[in-house]
Amino acid sequence: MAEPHKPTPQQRRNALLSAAVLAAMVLGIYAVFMLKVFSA
Amino acid sequence: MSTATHAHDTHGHDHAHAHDHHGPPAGFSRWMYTTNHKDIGTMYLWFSFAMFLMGGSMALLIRAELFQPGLQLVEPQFFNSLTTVHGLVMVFGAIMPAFVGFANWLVPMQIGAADMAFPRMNNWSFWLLIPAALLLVGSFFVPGGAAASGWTLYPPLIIQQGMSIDMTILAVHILGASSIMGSINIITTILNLRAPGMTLMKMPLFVWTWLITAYLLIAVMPVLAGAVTMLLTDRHFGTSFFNAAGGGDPTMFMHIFWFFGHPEVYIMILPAFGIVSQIIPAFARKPLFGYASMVYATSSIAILSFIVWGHHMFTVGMPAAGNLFFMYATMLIAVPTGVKIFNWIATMWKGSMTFETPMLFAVGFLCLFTIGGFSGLVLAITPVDITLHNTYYVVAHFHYVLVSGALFAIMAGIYFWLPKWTGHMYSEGLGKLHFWLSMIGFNVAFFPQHFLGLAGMPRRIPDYALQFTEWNQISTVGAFIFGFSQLLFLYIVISTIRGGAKAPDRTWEGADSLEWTHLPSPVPYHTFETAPVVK
Ligand code: HEM
Ligand SMILES: [Cu+2]
Repeated sequence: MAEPHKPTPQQRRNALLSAAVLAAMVLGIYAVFMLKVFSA
Repeated sequence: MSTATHAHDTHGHDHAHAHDHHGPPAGFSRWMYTTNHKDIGTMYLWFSFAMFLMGGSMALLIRAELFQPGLQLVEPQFFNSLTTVHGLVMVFGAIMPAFVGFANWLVPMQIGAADMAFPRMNNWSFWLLIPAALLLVGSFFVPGGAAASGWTLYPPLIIQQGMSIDMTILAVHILGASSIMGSINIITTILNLRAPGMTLMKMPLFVWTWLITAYLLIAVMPVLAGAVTMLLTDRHFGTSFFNAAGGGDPTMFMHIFWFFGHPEVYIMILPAFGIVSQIIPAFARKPLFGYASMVYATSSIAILSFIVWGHHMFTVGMPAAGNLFFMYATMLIAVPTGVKIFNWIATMWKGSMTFETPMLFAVGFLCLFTIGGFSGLVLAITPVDITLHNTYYVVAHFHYVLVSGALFAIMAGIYFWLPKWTGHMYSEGLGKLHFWLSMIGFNVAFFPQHFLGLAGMPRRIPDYALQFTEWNQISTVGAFIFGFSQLLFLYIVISTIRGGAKAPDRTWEGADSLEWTHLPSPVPYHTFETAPVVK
Protein backbone atom coordinates (compact mmCIF):
# COMPACT_ATOMS: atom_id res chain seq x y z
CA MET A 1 0.00 0.00 0.00
CA ALA A 2 1.59 3.20 -1.07
CA GLU A 3 0.45 6.68 -1.73
CA PRO A 4 -2.27 7.25 -4.27
CA HIS A 5 -0.97 8.24 -7.65
CA LYS A 6 -0.68 11.94 -8.01
CA PRO A 7 -1.76 14.08 -10.89
CA THR A 8 1.05 14.67 -13.38
CA PRO A 9 2.49 18.20 -13.50
CA GLN A 10 0.69 18.62 -16.79
CA GLN A 11 -2.62 17.65 -15.18
CA ARG A 12 -2.01 20.00 -12.28
CA ARG A 13 -1.31 22.91 -14.61
CA ASN A 14 -4.42 22.21 -16.61
CA ALA A 15 -6.51 21.84 -13.47
CA LEU A 16 -5.33 25.20 -12.19
CA LEU A 17 -6.03 26.78 -15.53
CA SER A 18 -9.57 25.34 -15.67
CA ALA A 19 -10.23 26.47 -12.13
CA ALA A 20 -9.01 29.98 -12.93
CA VAL A 21 -11.28 30.20 -15.96
CA LEU A 22 -14.28 28.97 -13.96
CA ALA A 23 -13.58 31.32 -11.09
CA ALA A 24 -13.34 34.17 -13.58
CA MET A 25 -16.73 33.17 -14.97
CA VAL A 26 -18.29 33.24 -11.52
CA LEU A 27 -16.77 36.56 -10.53
CA GLY A 28 -17.48 37.98 -13.96
CA ILE A 29 -21.17 37.13 -13.85
CA TYR A 30 -21.53 38.55 -10.35
CA ALA A 31 -19.48 41.68 -11.13
CA VAL A 32 -21.27 42.51 -14.38
CA PHE A 33 -24.65 42.00 -12.74
CA MET A 34 -23.79 44.13 -9.71
CA LEU A 35 -22.13 46.89 -11.75
CA LYS A 36 -25.18 47.02 -13.97
CA VAL A 37 -27.70 47.41 -11.16
CA PHE A 38 -25.62 49.59 -8.86
CA SER A 39 -24.47 52.13 -11.45
CA ALA A 40 -26.85 54.93 -12.40
CA MET B 1 5.02 8.24 -11.34
CA SER B 2 7.81 10.78 -11.19
CA THR B 3 5.93 13.83 -10.22
CA ALA B 4 7.27 17.21 -9.34
CA THR B 5 6.58 18.36 -5.82
CA HIS B 6 2.98 17.85 -4.92
CA ALA B 7 1.27 20.45 -2.78
CA HIS B 8 0.41 17.78 -0.27
CA ASP B 9 4.06 17.16 0.51
CA THR B 10 4.91 20.75 1.14
CA HIS B 11 2.00 22.12 3.06
CA GLY B 12 2.57 23.76 6.39
CA HIS B 13 0.74 21.85 9.11
CA ASP B 14 2.85 18.76 9.30
CA HIS B 15 1.12 16.68 11.93
CA ALA B 16 2.65 13.40 12.84
CA HIS B 17 -0.18 11.53 11.20
CA ALA B 18 -0.49 13.58 8.06
CA HIS B 19 1.67 11.26 6.03
CA ASP B 20 0.30 7.96 7.15
CA HIS B 21 -0.96 6.72 3.87
CA HIS B 22 -2.19 3.42 5.16
CA GLY B 23 -5.37 4.80 6.52
CA PRO B 24 -7.06 7.77 8.03
CA PRO B 25 -5.97 9.31 11.34
CA ALA B 26 -8.40 8.69 14.15
CA GLY B 27 -10.79 11.00 15.92
CA PHE B 28 -12.27 14.37 15.21
CA SER B 29 -9.22 15.80 13.43
CA ARG B 30 -9.64 13.17 10.75
CA TRP B 31 -12.91 14.80 9.76
CA MET B 32 -11.90 18.37 10.47
CA TYR B 33 -8.79 18.37 8.30
CA THR B 34 -9.58 15.63 5.86
CA THR B 35 -8.86 16.19 2.21
CA ASN B 36 -9.97 12.70 1.22
CA HIS B 37 -12.84 12.70 -1.23
CA LYS B 38 -14.44 9.69 0.44
CA ASP B 39 -14.39 11.26 3.91
CA ILE B 40 -15.76 14.49 2.51
CA GLY B 41 -18.44 12.61 0.60
CA THR B 42 -19.43 10.82 3.78
CA MET B 43 -19.68 14.09 5.67
CA TYR B 44 -21.84 15.63 2.96
CA LEU B 45 -24.18 12.67 3.07
CA TRP B 46 -24.53 12.72 6.86
CA PHE B 47 -25.01 16.47 6.84
CA SER B 48 -27.68 16.06 4.24
CA PHE B 49 -29.43 13.41 6.29
CA ALA B 50 -29.37 15.57 9.41
CA MET B 51 -30.90 18.44 7.45
CA PHE B 52 -33.43 16.04 5.97
CA LEU B 53 -34.59 15.10 9.46
CA MET B 54 -34.64 18.76 10.47
CA GLY B 55 -36.65 19.85 7.43
CA GLY B 56 -38.78 16.75 7.82
CA SER B 57 -39.74 17.64 11.39
CA MET B 58 -40.86 21.05 10.15
CA ALA B 59 -42.93 19.36 7.44
CA LEU B 60 -44.61 17.11 9.98
CA LEU B 61 -45.45 20.12 12.13
CA ILE B 62 -46.98 21.78 9.07
CA ARG B 63 -48.98 18.65 8.26
CA ALA B 64 -50.09 18.29 11.89
CA GLU B 65 -51.45 21.83 11.84
CA LEU B 66 -53.23 21.12 8.55
CA PHE B 67 -54.84 17.95 9.87
CA GLN B 68 -57.88 20.03 10.73
CA PRO B 69 -59.21 23.39 9.62
CA GLY B 70 -58.81 26.16 12.16
CA LEU B 71 -55.69 26.94 14.18
CA GLN B 72 -54.55 24.17 16.50
CA LEU B 73 -50.85 23.96 17.09
CA VAL B 74 -48.92 26.95 15.76
CA GLU B 75 -49.31 30.68 15.26
CA PRO B 76 -49.85 31.75 11.61
CA GLN B 77 -46.58 33.69 11.55
CA PHE B 78 -44.66 30.67 12.83
CA PHE B 79 -46.46 28.49 10.29
CA ASN B 80 -45.13 30.71 7.53
CA SER B 81 -41.64 30.45 8.98
CA LEU B 82 -42.01 26.68 8.97
CA THR B 83 -42.91 26.49 5.28
CA THR B 84 -40.10 28.91 4.42
CA VAL B 85 -37.32 27.23 6.36
CA HIS B 86 -38.59 23.77 5.41
CA GLY B 87 -38.12 24.72 1.75
CA LEU B 88 -34.72 26.34 2.24
CA VAL B 89 -33.40 23.50 4.39
CA MET B 90 -34.60 20.80 2.00
CA VAL B 91 -33.33 22.51 -1.16
CA PHE B 92 -29.99 23.85 0.08
CA GLY B 93 -29.37 21.58 3.05
CA ALA B 94 -30.73 18.18 2.08
CA ILE B 95 -31.02 17.60 -1.67
CA MET B 96 -28.06 19.60 -3.01
CA PRO B 97 -25.49 18.42 -0.43
CA ALA B 98 -26.63 14.82 -0.88
CA PHE B 99 -25.75 14.98 -4.56
CA VAL B 100 -22.44 16.68 -3.80
CA GLY B 101 -21.77 13.80 -1.40
CA PHE B 102 -22.37 11.32 -4.21
CA ALA B 103 -20.15 13.36 -6.52
CA ASN B 104 -17.33 13.30 -4.00
CA TRP B 105 -17.53 9.59 -3.51
CA LEU B 106 -18.09 8.60 -7.09
CA VAL B 107 -16.61 11.07 -9.56
CA PRO B 108 -12.93 10.29 -8.78
CA MET B 109 -13.57 6.54 -8.66
CA GLN B 110 -15.64 6.48 -11.83
CA ILE B 111 -13.08 8.38 -13.89
CA GLY B 112 -10.08 6.61 -12.36
CA ALA B 113 -8.63 9.58 -10.46
CA ALA B 114 -7.01 9.37 -7.03
CA ASP B 115 -8.98 12.26 -5.57
CA MET B 116 -10.60 15.56 -6.49
CA ALA B 117 -8.44 18.16 -8.18
CA PHE B 118 -8.43 20.52 -5.19
CA PRO B 119 -8.75 18.43 -2.03
CA ARG B 120 -8.30 21.27 0.44
CA MET B 121 -10.88 23.47 -1.28
CA ASN B 122 -13.10 20.41 -1.07
CA ASN B 123 -12.70 20.42 2.71
CA TRP B 124 -13.71 24.09 2.75
CA SER B 125 -16.77 23.53 0.59
CA PHE B 126 -18.04 21.09 3.15
CA TRP B 127 -17.24 22.96 6.34
CA LEU B 128 -18.90 26.15 5.06
CA LEU B 129 -22.19 24.28 5.20
CA ILE B 130 -22.14 24.14 9.00
CA PRO B 131 -22.27 27.88 9.73
CA ALA B 132 -24.87 28.30 6.97
CA ALA B 133 -27.07 25.63 8.53
CA LEU B 134 -26.66 27.17 11.97
CA LEU B 135 -27.68 30.57 10.61
CA LEU B 136 -30.77 29.16 8.91
CA VAL B 137 -31.98 27.11 11.82
CA GLY B 138 -30.82 29.65 14.42
CA SER B 139 -32.95 32.32 12.75
CA PHE B 140 -35.98 30.74 14.43
CA PHE B 141 -34.70 32.04 17.75
CA VAL B 142 -34.17 35.73 17.00
CA PRO B 143 -36.80 38.43 17.61
CA GLY B 144 -39.48 38.31 14.92
CA GLY B 145 -38.86 34.65 14.14
CA ALA B 146 -37.41 32.98 11.06
CA ALA B 147 -38.02 34.19 7.51
CA ALA B 148 -41.70 33.87 6.64
CA SER B 149 -41.54 34.93 3.00
CA GLY B 150 -41.53 31.46 1.48
CA TRP B 151 -38.30 29.88 0.20
CA THR B 152 -38.49 32.20 -2.83
CA LEU B 153 -37.66 35.18 -0.56
CA TYR B 154 -40.07 37.52 -2.33
CA PRO B 155 -40.18 41.20 -1.45
CA PRO B 156 -41.91 43.20 -0.06
CA LEU B 157 -42.30 40.85 2.92
CA ILE B 158 -38.63 39.95 2.97
CA ILE B 159 -37.67 43.62 3.18
CA GLN B 160 -39.95 44.26 6.13
CA GLN B 161 -39.08 41.35 8.42
CA GLY B 162 -36.46 41.37 11.20
CA MET B 163 -32.88 40.24 11.54
CA SER B 164 -33.64 36.63 10.67
CA ILE B 165 -33.67 37.80 7.05
CA ASP B 166 -30.11 39.04 7.35
CA MET B 167 -29.13 35.66 8.74
CA THR B 168 -30.91 33.96 5.86
CA ILE B 169 -29.20 36.20 3.32
CA LEU B 170 -25.80 35.44 4.84
CA ALA B 171 -26.64 31.73 4.87
CA VAL B 172 -27.57 31.84 1.18
CA HIS B 173 -24.30 33.63 0.38
CA ILE B 174 -22.26 31.02 2.24
CA LEU B 175 -24.15 28.13 0.67
CA GLY B 176 -23.59 29.70 -2.72
CA ALA B 177 -19.85 29.99 -2.09
CA SER B 178 -19.76 26.36 -1.04
CA SER B 179 -21.65 25.24 -4.14
CA ILE B 180 -19.42 27.29 -6.41
CA MET B 181 -16.22 25.87 -4.95
CA GLY B 182 -17.70 22.39 -5.14
CA SER B 183 -18.62 22.90 -8.78
CA ILE B 184 -15.21 24.24 -9.75
CA ASN B 185 -13.69 21.18 -8.12
CA ILE B 186 -16.00 18.78 -9.90
CA ILE B 187 -15.53 20.34 -13.33
CA THR B 188 -11.74 20.56 -13.08
CA THR B 189 -11.55 16.99 -11.81
CA ILE B 190 -13.67 15.63 -14.63
CA LEU B 191 -11.93 17.64 -17.33
CA ASN B 192 -8.36 17.05 -16.21
CA LEU B 193 -7.94 13.97 -14.06
CA ARG B 194 -9.51 11.21 -16.10
CA ALA B 195 -7.54 7.97 -16.37
CA PRO B 196 -5.84 7.20 -19.67
CA GLY B 197 -8.44 5.99 -22.15
CA MET B 198 -11.39 7.45 -20.23
CA THR B 199 -12.68 9.67 -22.99
CA LEU B 200 -15.60 11.97 -22.28
CA MET B 201 -18.01 9.72 -24.13
CA LYS B 202 -16.92 6.73 -22.06
CA MET B 203 -17.71 8.39 -18.74
CA PRO B 204 -20.52 6.88 -16.69
CA LEU B 205 -23.70 8.91 -16.95
CA PHE B 206 -23.52 9.99 -13.34
CA VAL B 207 -20.28 11.83 -14.14
CA TRP B 208 -21.82 13.42 -17.21
CA THR B 209 -24.89 14.66 -15.40
CA TRP B 210 -22.71 16.16 -12.65
CA LEU B 211 -20.45 17.86 -15.18
CA ILE B 212 -23.48 19.57 -16.67
CA THR B 213 -25.00 20.31 -13.26
CA ALA B 214 -21.77 21.95 -12.11
CA TYR B 215 -21.86 24.28 -15.11
CA LEU B 216 -25.44 25.21 -14.23
CA LEU B 217 -24.32 26.01 -10.70
CA ILE B 218 -21.43 28.15 -11.94
CA ALA B 219 -23.86 30.09 -14.11
CA VAL B 220 -26.70 30.70 -11.68
CA MET B 221 -25.21 30.81 -8.19
CA PRO B 222 -23.71 34.26 -8.83
CA VAL B 223 -27.15 35.42 -9.94
CA LEU B 224 -28.73 34.25 -6.69
CA ALA B 225 -25.91 35.94 -4.81
CA GLY B 226 -26.65 39.14 -6.71
CA ALA B 227 -30.36 38.91 -5.94
CA VAL B 228 -29.81 38.54 -2.22
CA THR B 229 -27.17 41.28 -2.25
CA MET B 230 -29.83 43.58 -3.69
CA LEU B 231 -32.24 42.50 -0.95
CA LEU B 232 -29.60 43.35 1.60
CA THR B 233 -28.99 46.84 0.22
CA ASP B 234 -32.75 47.41 -0.01
CA ARG B 235 -32.99 46.51 3.64
CA HIS B 236 -30.05 48.41 5.01
CA PHE B 237 -28.36 50.69 2.50
CA GLY B 238 -31.13 52.84 1.13
CA THR B 239 -31.61 51.31 -2.32
CA SER B 240 -35.11 50.60 -3.64
CA PHE B 241 -34.60 47.90 -6.24
CA PHE B 242 -37.66 45.98 -5.16
CA ASN B 243 -39.45 48.50 -2.99
CA ALA B 244 -42.39 50.09 -4.79
CA ALA B 245 -42.52 52.94 -2.27
CA GLY B 246 -39.08 54.02 -3.44
CA GLY B 247 -39.80 53.51 -7.13
CA GLY B 248 -38.62 49.91 -7.25
CA ASP B 249 -40.32 46.85 -8.65
CA PRO B 250 -41.00 43.67 -6.66
CA THR B 251 -41.58 41.68 -9.84
CA MET B 252 -37.99 42.36 -10.87
CA PHE B 253 -36.94 40.23 -7.92
CA MET B 254 -39.14 37.42 -9.22
CA HIS B 255 -37.45 37.57 -12.62
CA ILE B 256 -33.98 37.45 -11.10
CA PHE B 257 -34.91 34.80 -8.57
CA TRP B 258 -36.45 32.47 -11.14
CA PHE B 259 -33.64 33.01 -13.59
CA PHE B 260 -31.68 31.28 -10.85
CA GLY B 261 -34.57 29.18 -9.60
CA HIS B 262 -35.52 27.20 -12.64
CA PRO B 263 -31.97 26.06 -13.44
CA GLU B 264 -31.77 25.31 -9.72
CA VAL B 265 -34.59 22.77 -9.98
CA TYR B 266 -32.60 21.03 -12.71
CA ILE B 267 -29.53 21.18 -10.51
CA MET B 268 -31.57 19.07 -8.14
CA ILE B 269 -32.73 16.58 -10.76
CA LEU B 270 -29.89 16.05 -13.27
CA PRO B 271 -27.65 14.16 -10.80
CA ALA B 272 -30.74 12.08 -9.96
CA PHE B 273 -31.01 11.23 -13.66
CA GLY B 274 -27.36 10.21 -13.50
CA ILE B 275 -27.86 7.88 -10.55
CA VAL B 276 -30.90 6.26 -12.13
CA SER B 277 -28.97 5.84 -15.38
CA GLN B 278 -26.37 3.79 -13.48
CA ILE B 279 -28.86 1.67 -11.59
CA ILE B 280 -31.38 0.67 -14.25
CA PRO B 281 -28.80 -0.92 -16.60
CA ALA B 282 -27.23 -2.77 -13.66
CA PHE B 283 -30.48 -4.46 -12.70
CA ALA B 284 -31.71 -4.94 -16.26
CA ARG B 285 -28.30 -6.51 -17.04
CA LYS B 286 -28.16 -4.59 -20.28
CA PRO B 287 -26.12 -1.55 -21.28
CA LEU B 288 -27.90 1.78 -21.04
CA PHE B 289 -30.04 2.30 -24.12
CA GLY B 290 -29.07 5.43 -26.06
CA TYR B 291 -26.01 6.56 -24.06
CA ALA B 292 -25.14 9.40 -26.42
CA SER B 293 -28.73 10.60 -26.62
CA MET B 294 -28.76 10.68 -22.81
CA VAL B 295 -25.79 13.03 -22.83
CA TYR B 296 -27.35 15.27 -25.45
CA ALA B 297 -30.76 15.23 -23.75
CA THR B 298 -29.15 16.23 -20.45
CA SER B 299 -27.35 19.11 -22.15
CA SER B 300 -30.51 20.27 -23.90
CA ILE B 301 -32.43 20.25 -20.65
CA ALA B 302 -29.68 22.32 -19.06
CA ILE B 303 -29.66 24.87 -21.86
CA LEU B 304 -33.45 25.12 -22.07
CA SER B 305 -33.64 25.57 -18.30
CA PHE B 306 -32.35 29.13 -18.79
CA ILE B 307 -35.26 30.30 -20.91
CA VAL B 308 -38.31 29.04 -19.06
CA TRP B 309 -38.23 30.96 -15.78
CA GLY B 310 -41.34 32.98 -16.66
CA HIS B 311 -43.56 29.93 -16.05
CA HIS B 312 -43.33 30.79 -12.36
CA MET B 313 -44.80 34.22 -13.02
CA PHE B 314 -47.74 33.78 -15.37
CA THR B 315 -49.92 35.73 -12.96
CA VAL B 316 -47.79 38.85 -12.54
CA GLY B 317 -48.98 40.51 -15.73
CA MET B 318 -46.31 39.84 -18.32
CA PRO B 319 -47.25 40.73 -21.91
CA ALA B 320 -49.17 37.96 -23.71
CA ALA B 321 -46.16 37.38 -25.98
CA GLY B 322 -44.02 36.78 -22.89
CA ASN B 323 -46.50 34.33 -21.42
CA LEU B 324 -46.70 32.47 -24.72
CA PHE B 325 -42.95 32.35 -25.10
CA PHE B 326 -42.49 30.88 -21.64
CA MET B 327 -45.34 28.45 -22.15
CA TYR B 328 -43.90 26.99 -25.35
CA ALA B 329 -40.31 27.04 -24.13
CA THR B 330 -41.37 25.14 -21.02
CA MET B 331 -43.21 22.54 -23.03
CA LEU B 332 -40.13 22.07 -25.16
CA ILE B 333 -38.29 20.68 -22.11
CA ALA B 334 -40.69 17.76 -22.15
CA VAL B 335 -38.97 16.57 -25.35
CA PRO B 336 -35.48 15.80 -23.97
CA THR B 337 -37.10 14.65 -20.73
CA GLY B 338 -39.22 12.24 -22.76
CA VAL B 339 -36.07 10.98 -24.51
CA LYS B 340 -34.63 10.06 -21.12
CA ILE B 341 -37.75 8.31 -19.90
CA PHE B 342 -37.89 6.42 -23.19
CA ASN B 343 -34.26 5.36 -22.87
CA TRP B 344 -34.72 4.07 -19.33
CA ILE B 345 -37.72 2.03 -20.36
CA ALA B 346 -35.93 0.75 -23.45
CA THR B 347 -33.01 -0.28 -21.21
CA MET B 348 -35.38 -2.42 -19.17
CA TRP B 349 -37.09 -3.83 -22.26
CA LYS B 350 -36.30 -7.56 -22.51
CA GLY B 351 -33.67 -7.23 -19.80
CA SER B 352 -33.24 -9.95 -17.19
CA MET B 353 -34.51 -7.75 -14.43
CA THR B 354 -34.38 -8.23 -10.69
CA PHE B 355 -35.85 -5.87 -8.17
CA GLU B 356 -33.46 -5.35 -5.29
CA THR B 357 -33.99 -2.20 -3.23
CA PRO B 358 -31.95 0.17 -5.46
CA MET B 359 -33.92 -0.95 -8.50
CA LEU B 360 -37.22 -0.59 -6.63
CA PHE B 361 -36.37 3.00 -5.82
CA ALA B 362 -35.20 3.59 -9.39
CA VAL B 363 -38.42 2.20 -10.86
CA GLY B 364 -40.40 4.14 -8.25
CA PHE B 365 -38.52 7.22 -9.43
CA LEU B 366 -39.39 6.49 -13.02
CA CYS B 367 -43.13 6.16 -12.38
CA LEU B 368 -43.53 9.02 -9.95
CA PHE B 369 -41.12 11.51 -11.50
CA THR B 370 -43.09 11.11 -14.71
CA ILE B 371 -46.28 12.06 -12.86
CA GLY B 372 -44.47 15.17 -11.63
CA GLY B 373 -43.33 15.93 -15.17
CA PHE B 374 -46.90 15.71 -16.42
CA SER B 375 -48.30 17.95 -13.70
CA GLY B 376 -45.51 20.36 -14.68
CA LEU B 377 -46.80 20.32 -18.23
CA VAL B 378 -50.30 21.07 -16.94
CA LEU B 379 -48.90 24.04 -15.02
CA ALA B 380 -46.96 25.19 -18.06
CA ILE B 381 -50.22 25.95 -19.89
CA THR B 382 -50.62 29.63 -19.12
CA PRO B 383 -54.41 29.83 -18.76
CA VAL B 384 -54.45 26.71 -16.62
CA ASP B 385 -51.66 28.02 -14.43
CA ILE B 386 -53.55 31.22 -13.82
CA THR B 387 -56.10 29.22 -11.86
CA LEU B 388 -53.63 26.75 -10.33
CA HIS B 389 -50.80 29.10 -9.39
CA ASN B 390 -50.25 29.24 -5.63
CA THR B 391 -52.57 26.33 -5.00
CA TYR B 392 -51.76 22.89 -3.61
CA TYR B 393 -51.53 21.61 -7.17
CA VAL B 394 -48.13 23.31 -7.40
CA VAL B 395 -47.14 21.78 -4.07
CA ALA B 396 -48.11 18.36 -5.40
CA HIS B 397 -46.12 18.95 -8.60
CA PHE B 398 -42.89 19.88 -6.99
CA HIS B 399 -43.02 17.19 -4.38
CA TYR B 400 -43.46 14.59 -7.09
CA VAL B 401 -40.34 15.83 -8.87
CA LEU B 402 -38.31 16.54 -5.75
CA VAL B 403 -39.27 13.79 -3.30
CA SER B 404 -40.20 10.90 -5.56
CA GLY B 405 -37.73 12.33 -8.08
CA ALA B 406 -34.58 13.64 -6.47
CA LEU B 407 -34.96 11.99 -3.06
CA PHE B 408 -35.94 8.56 -4.37
CA ALA B 409 -32.88 8.65 -6.62
CA ILE B 410 -30.74 9.52 -3.61
CA MET B 411 -32.20 6.56 -1.69
CA ALA B 412 -31.67 4.30 -4.71
CA GLY B 413 -28.06 5.46 -4.91
CA ILE B 414 -27.40 4.91 -1.21
CA TYR B 415 -28.64 1.31 -1.37
CA PHE B 416 -26.73 0.77 -4.61
CA TRP B 417 -23.34 2.05 -3.42
CA LEU B 418 -23.54 1.31 0.31
CA PRO B 419 -22.05 -2.20 -0.19
CA LYS B 420 -19.17 -0.64 -2.13
CA TRP B 421 -18.61 2.05 0.49
CA THR B 422 -18.93 -0.07 3.63
CA GLY B 423 -18.05 -3.55 2.40
CA HIS B 424 -21.29 -4.87 3.88
CA MET B 425 -24.64 -5.80 2.41
CA TYR B 426 -27.65 -3.99 3.75
CA SER B 427 -30.68 -6.03 4.78
CA GLU B 428 -32.66 -6.60 1.61
CA GLY B 429 -35.84 -7.34 3.54
CA LEU B 430 -35.68 -4.10 5.52
CA GLY B 431 -34.67 -2.16 2.41
CA LYS B 432 -37.75 -3.39 0.58
CA LEU B 433 -39.90 -2.55 3.59
CA HIS B 434 -38.43 0.95 3.61
CA PHE B 435 -39.19 1.28 -0.09
CA TRP B 436 -42.82 0.22 0.21
CA LEU B 437 -43.49 2.35 3.27
CA SER B 438 -41.96 5.35 1.49
CA MET B 439 -43.84 4.65 -1.71
CA ILE B 440 -47.21 4.31 0.02
CA GLY B 441 -46.63 7.12 2.51
CA PHE B 442 -45.46 9.47 -0.20
CA ASN B 443 -48.39 8.89 -2.53
CA VAL B 444 -50.94 9.08 0.27
CA ALA B 445 -49.38 12.35 1.37
CA PHE B 446 -49.03 14.05 -1.99
CA PHE B 447 -51.48 12.63 -4.51
CA PRO B 448 -54.50 14.16 -2.72
CA GLN B 449 -52.79 17.55 -2.91
CA HIS B 450 -53.57 17.54 -6.64
CA PHE B 451 -57.27 17.34 -5.77
CA LEU B 452 -56.96 20.05 -3.15
CA GLY B 453 -55.22 22.33 -5.62
CA LEU B 454 -57.75 21.70 -8.36
CA ALA B 455 -60.48 22.51 -5.83
CA GLY B 456 -58.75 25.80 -5.09
CA MET B 457 -56.95 25.33 -1.79
CA PRO B 458 -54.15 27.93 -1.60
CA ARG B 459 -50.65 26.95 -0.49
CA ARG B 460 -48.82 28.46 2.51
CA ILE B 461 -51.85 28.90 4.78
CA PRO B 462 -52.33 27.44 8.28
CA ASP B 463 -56.14 27.31 8.03
CA TYR B 464 -58.55 26.32 5.26
CA ALA B 465 -62.18 26.04 4.29
CA LEU B 466 -64.12 23.06 5.64
CA GLN B 467 -64.59 21.26 2.34
CA PHE B 468 -60.85 20.60 2.11
CA THR B 469 -60.74 18.66 5.37
CA GLU B 470 -60.82 15.01 4.24
CA TRP B 471 -57.99 15.14 1.71
CA ASN B 472 -55.89 17.14 4.16
CA GLN B 473 -56.38 14.50 6.83
CA ILE B 474 -55.39 11.74 4.43
CA SER B 475 -52.38 13.78 3.34
CA THR B 476 -51.25 14.25 6.92
CA VAL B 477 -51.52 10.53 7.64
CA GLY B 478 -49.41 9.77 4.56
CA ALA B 479 -46.84 12.36 5.56
CA PHE B 480 -46.38 10.77 8.97
CA ILE B 481 -46.01 7.30 7.43
CA PHE B 482 -43.42 8.66 5.01
CA GLY B 483 -41.59 10.66 7.67
CA PHE B 484 -41.29 7.91 10.24
CA SER B 485 -40.25 5.28 7.71
CA GLN B 486 -37.10 7.33 7.18
CA LEU B 487 -36.03 6.34 10.69
CA LEU B 488 -36.05 2.77 9.39
CA PHE B 489 -33.70 3.97 6.65
CA LEU B 490 -31.39 5.44 9.29
CA TYR B 491 -31.42 2.12 11.14
CA ILE B 492 -30.64 0.18 7.95
CA VAL B 493 -27.71 2.43 7.06
CA ILE B 494 -26.20 2.34 10.54
CA SER B 495 -26.47 -1.42 10.82
CA THR B 496 -24.89 -1.81 7.38
CA ILE B 497 -21.96 0.35 8.42
CA ARG B 498 -21.59 -1.66 11.64
CA GLY B 499 -21.66 -5.09 10.04
CA GLY B 500 -23.54 -7.52 7.87
CA ALA B 501 -22.72 -10.01 5.16
CA LYS B 502 -19.53 -9.27 3.25
CA ALA B 503 -20.28 -7.49 -0.02
CA PRO B 504 -18.55 -8.87 -3.12
CA ASP B 505 -16.30 -6.46 -5.01
CA ARG B 506 -18.71 -6.44 -7.89
CA THR B 507 -21.83 -6.38 -5.77
CA TRP B 508 -24.22 -6.12 -8.69
CA GLU B 509 -23.31 -8.33 -11.62
CA GLY B 510 -24.68 -5.84 -14.14
CA ALA B 511 -22.72 -2.84 -12.81
CA ASP B 512 -19.74 -2.01 -14.97
CA SER B 513 -18.22 1.32 -13.95
CA LEU B 514 -14.68 1.41 -12.56
CA GLU B 515 -15.61 1.38 -8.88
CA TRP B 516 -17.20 -2.05 -9.39
CA THR B 517 -14.72 -3.57 -11.83
CA HIS B 518 -11.42 -2.19 -10.51
CA LEU B 519 -11.85 -1.62 -6.76
CA PRO B 520 -12.52 -3.89 -3.79
CA SER B 521 -15.44 -3.51 -1.37
CA PRO B 522 -15.02 -1.65 0.88
CA VAL B 523 -13.00 0.79 -1.17
CA PRO B 524 -9.61 1.44 0.48
CA TYR B 525 -8.94 4.88 1.89
CA HIS B 526 -6.73 5.68 -1.09
CA THR B 527 -7.75 4.31 -4.44
CA PHE B 528 -5.99 3.92 -7.75
CA GLU B 529 -2.37 3.82 -6.64
CA THR B 530 -1.73 3.59 -10.33
CA ALA B 531 -4.18 5.04 -12.76
CA PRO B 532 -6.33 2.33 -14.34
CA VAL B 533 -6.17 2.09 -18.09
CA VAL B 534 -9.54 2.13 -19.77
CA LYS B 535 -9.81 0.25 -23.04
C1 HEM C 1 -41.31 18.57 -17.52
C2 HEM C 1 -40.71 19.28 -16.63
C3 HEM C 1 -41.33 20.40 -15.78
C4 HEM C 1 -42.27 21.32 -16.10
C5 HEM C 1 -42.97 21.48 -17.43
C6 HEM C 1 -42.46 22.16 -14.93
C7 HEM C 1 -43.33 23.24 -14.84
C8 HEM C 1 -43.55 24.00 -13.71
C9 HEM C 1 -44.38 25.17 -13.64
C10 HEM C 1 -45.18 25.75 -14.82
C11 HEM C 1 -44.34 25.64 -12.36
C12 HEM C 1 -45.02 26.90 -11.82
C13 HEM C 1 -46.31 26.61 -11.17
C14 HEM C 1 -46.84 27.81 -10.44
O1 HEM C 1 -46.17 28.35 -9.55
O2 HEM C 1 -47.98 28.22 -10.75
C15 HEM C 1 -43.48 24.78 -11.62
C16 HEM C 1 -43.19 24.93 -10.28
C17 HEM C 1 -42.19 24.23 -9.64
N1 HEM C 1 -41.43 23.21 -10.17
FE1 HEM C 1 -41.65 22.39 -12.00
N2 HEM C 1 -41.68 21.71 -13.93
C18 HEM C 1 -40.97 20.64 -14.42
C19 HEM C 1 -40.03 19.90 -13.74
C20 HEM C 1 -39.57 20.20 -12.47
C21 HEM C 1 -38.46 19.56 -11.83
C22 HEM C 1 -37.61 18.46 -12.46
C23 HEM C 1 -38.34 20.12 -10.61
C24 HEM C 1 -37.35 19.84 -9.51
C25 HEM C 1 -36.61 18.82 -9.41
C26 HEM C 1 -39.38 21.10 -10.47
C27 HEM C 1 -39.57 21.88 -9.34
C28 HEM C 1 -40.51 22.85 -9.22
C29 HEM C 1 -40.69 23.65 -8.04
C30 HEM C 1 -39.85 23.57 -6.74
C31 HEM C 1 -41.76 24.51 -8.29
C32 HEM C 1 -42.42 25.48 -7.33
C33 HEM C 1 -41.65 26.65 -6.99
C34 HEM C 1 -42.41 27.50 -6.00
O3 HEM C 1 -43.27 28.25 -6.43
O4 HEM C 1 -42.12 27.39 -4.80
N3 HEM C 1 -40.11 21.12 -11.62
N4 HEM C 1 -43.00 23.77 -12.48
CU1 LIG D 1 -39.50 26.25 -13.25
